[in-house]
Amino acid sequence: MSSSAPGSAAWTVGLRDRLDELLDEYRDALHNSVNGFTEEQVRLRLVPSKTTLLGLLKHVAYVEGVWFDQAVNGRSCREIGIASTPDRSFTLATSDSIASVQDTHRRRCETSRSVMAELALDDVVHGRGERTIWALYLQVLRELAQHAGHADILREQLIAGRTG
Amino acid sequence: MSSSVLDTLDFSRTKEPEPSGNQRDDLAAWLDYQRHEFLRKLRDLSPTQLANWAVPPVELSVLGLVRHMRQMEHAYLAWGFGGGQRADYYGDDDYAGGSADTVDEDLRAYLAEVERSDAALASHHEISSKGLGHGQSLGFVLVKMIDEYALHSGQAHMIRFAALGRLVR
Repeated sequence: MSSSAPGSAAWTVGLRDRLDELLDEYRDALHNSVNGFTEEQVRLRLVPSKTTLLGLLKHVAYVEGVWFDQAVNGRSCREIGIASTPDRSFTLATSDSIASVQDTHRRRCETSRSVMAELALDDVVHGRGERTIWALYLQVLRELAQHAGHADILREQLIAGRTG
Repeated sequence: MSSSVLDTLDFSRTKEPEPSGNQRDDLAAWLDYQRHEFLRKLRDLSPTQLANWAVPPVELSVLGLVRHMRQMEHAYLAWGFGGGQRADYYGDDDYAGGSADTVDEDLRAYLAEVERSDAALASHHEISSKGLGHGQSLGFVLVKMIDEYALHSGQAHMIRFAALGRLVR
């Protein structure tokens, strides 16, 4: 892990803050996407895939662990406490609940923030091959944005099903 | 009803871009990748399905997302970097507007806007280069557009399932 100060390179000035802001907006949106629904509703499959609202939240906690922990520190999925594959990260256990998945997600995001706060966008890490920090940010931003888009529509389907 | 433009689109899978060592080129490559992923959401859909508000009561179709992204291409890149006259193509009627009859027109307009965006980007080689229209930096704007495409691709992904009628429930 490098120790240079955040935002050290000219092109990253201002960009770092905006990236952190964007990520936090998506984290909040995904965290809150399950609010207002029952445990049954957040487990409904409304399209022919594994995608459920609660499964999405579980998956984005996994995404945080892979890119903002494993890719930086090289820890194994087992050490981090995340699923071994992306596919499995969507799978809900009978013991999972809205509260438990939200709690895991919140703690995962806190870890991500504290890990990334030590790193500048131009730093290079080697936990999952050689990658720059800005490439990790872009990866997580793309994934969170896409899953927030999935959650948007799932929520609308659940709301429509509830009232209609 | 058929669409001549839909038939010309490339729906093949593409690989994620490899790092080139140049941040500006990497971000531009990711933008191209996200644009392609977005357009792939149109595959298998008829013009009628494209324009369908598939998740009522939300007034949103995959075509509406294409219209929205045309406006984003314009505001952030074609005008944003190229400068000139700023256009507001659809007003508030981007997401909800369009019909099976406007699919070709909307797709042609979107693709032409992407060409204007790329022409504007071609003269900005530095990641800290400022847009002639909005004055924002290239690095920031490319990240913003990649983010926009990812979000709306996620929405399009779910709407296309609904439009195709392959809902489980």
